[in-house]
Amino acid sequence: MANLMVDKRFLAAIGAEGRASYEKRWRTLVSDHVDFIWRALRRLGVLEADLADAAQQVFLVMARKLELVREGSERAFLFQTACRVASDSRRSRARRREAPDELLASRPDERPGPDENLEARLRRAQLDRVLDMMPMELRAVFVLSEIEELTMAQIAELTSTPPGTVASRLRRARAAFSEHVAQLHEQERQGG
Amino acid sequence: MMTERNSPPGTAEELARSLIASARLDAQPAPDVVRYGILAAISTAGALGTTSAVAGATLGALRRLGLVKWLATTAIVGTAGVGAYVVMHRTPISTANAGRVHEPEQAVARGNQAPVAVPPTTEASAVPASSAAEESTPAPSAQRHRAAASTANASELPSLESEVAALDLARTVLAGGDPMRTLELLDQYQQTFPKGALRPEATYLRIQALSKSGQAGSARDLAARFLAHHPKSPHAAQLQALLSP
Repeated sequence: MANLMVDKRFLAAIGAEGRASYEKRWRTLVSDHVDFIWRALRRLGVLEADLADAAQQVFLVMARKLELVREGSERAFLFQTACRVASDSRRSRARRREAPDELLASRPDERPGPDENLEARLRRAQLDRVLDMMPMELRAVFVLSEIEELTMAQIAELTSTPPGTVASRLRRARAAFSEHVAQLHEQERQGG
Repeated sequence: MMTERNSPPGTAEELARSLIASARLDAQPAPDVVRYGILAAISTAGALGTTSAVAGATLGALRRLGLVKWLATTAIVGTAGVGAYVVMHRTPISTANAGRVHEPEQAVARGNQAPVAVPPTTEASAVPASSAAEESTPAPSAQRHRAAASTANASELPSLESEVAALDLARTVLAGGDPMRTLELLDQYQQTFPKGALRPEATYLRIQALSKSGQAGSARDLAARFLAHHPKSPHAAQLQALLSP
């Protein structure tokens, strides 16, 4: 019950007014970041069927830690939590694959979204497969840069990584991406 | 399979661009169910059990949207306060009792309580590893109503005495040779006492019930996680025995 004790002390200390602003901070946080986290989880490899739970999980980890998270660092905290949730999700998917009757349940949901054509759907599935081949640290940087179109400085902040490291990861991620896409291209060219 | 329908790829670079573009097309906002579900949970958690106007309004929105799973979740979170995310992962699943390893006690969540500097590089262990493995099975309607109804008296904290009674009952039923019913009772325990003081004991009972109901894999999985977080539990030796081949 350690966490309860911490919470009680914390909440007693901040008083009614503090609790109101605490809650207000929550609401702002959710509306500011939920869409970003949702997109991030998708591209970090969480399956459609697991997305809602993964998103919940990310925000509830945040819920427990809010008083420890500096104002302005929330997005970074959420994104880094999302990376871990996505890694766990991939690991547990790999485990589930061992059980044949659960294989179907763990298939990616590749239903097209509204207005989505077959080609976009196929490309997205290919993209996810290519991204699946990258380690999470490269994948995260790649997604933030190429899909979210963030700057290096923004990525460094979001991942709490020195800019030099971001740059080197991004180089490696791009190289890996190009290599996998080249293979894919070759397969398609040969009609595979 | 769909190759006939696809434009032939030009260069590899064009293919790369079209892959990236497909993700941008896919950049949809989080569905309302997720947004409201998180808002509701967090609002309630932020107010630590007080039913704020925000939480009330969000609950209303959830009801209107017919988001039963989230409603059930929120109801439990209402009693759980800030430690709530632990509970989030068990509520919707409570009916899937048997096969799923939804660690009722979620020791993982409690294990990492030391204040951590920002950002959370050590947070990984606080993320319940099991949640992704848990299928969120919608609760049958009777259970939904129960869960929803429990929102009303979210502020009434059950006593340790009733907690003991609930586990005694589960233990008796298990001893009577009905592990499936025991699992149901443990699910009810979980819902009623989301922050119960006896959760480790409940988990131990669950491991036994899983084991006796022929779900050895789930039992071992849960036992391993239990041991990881309660290495000094009085049940440790027995659980080790369960884990050894």
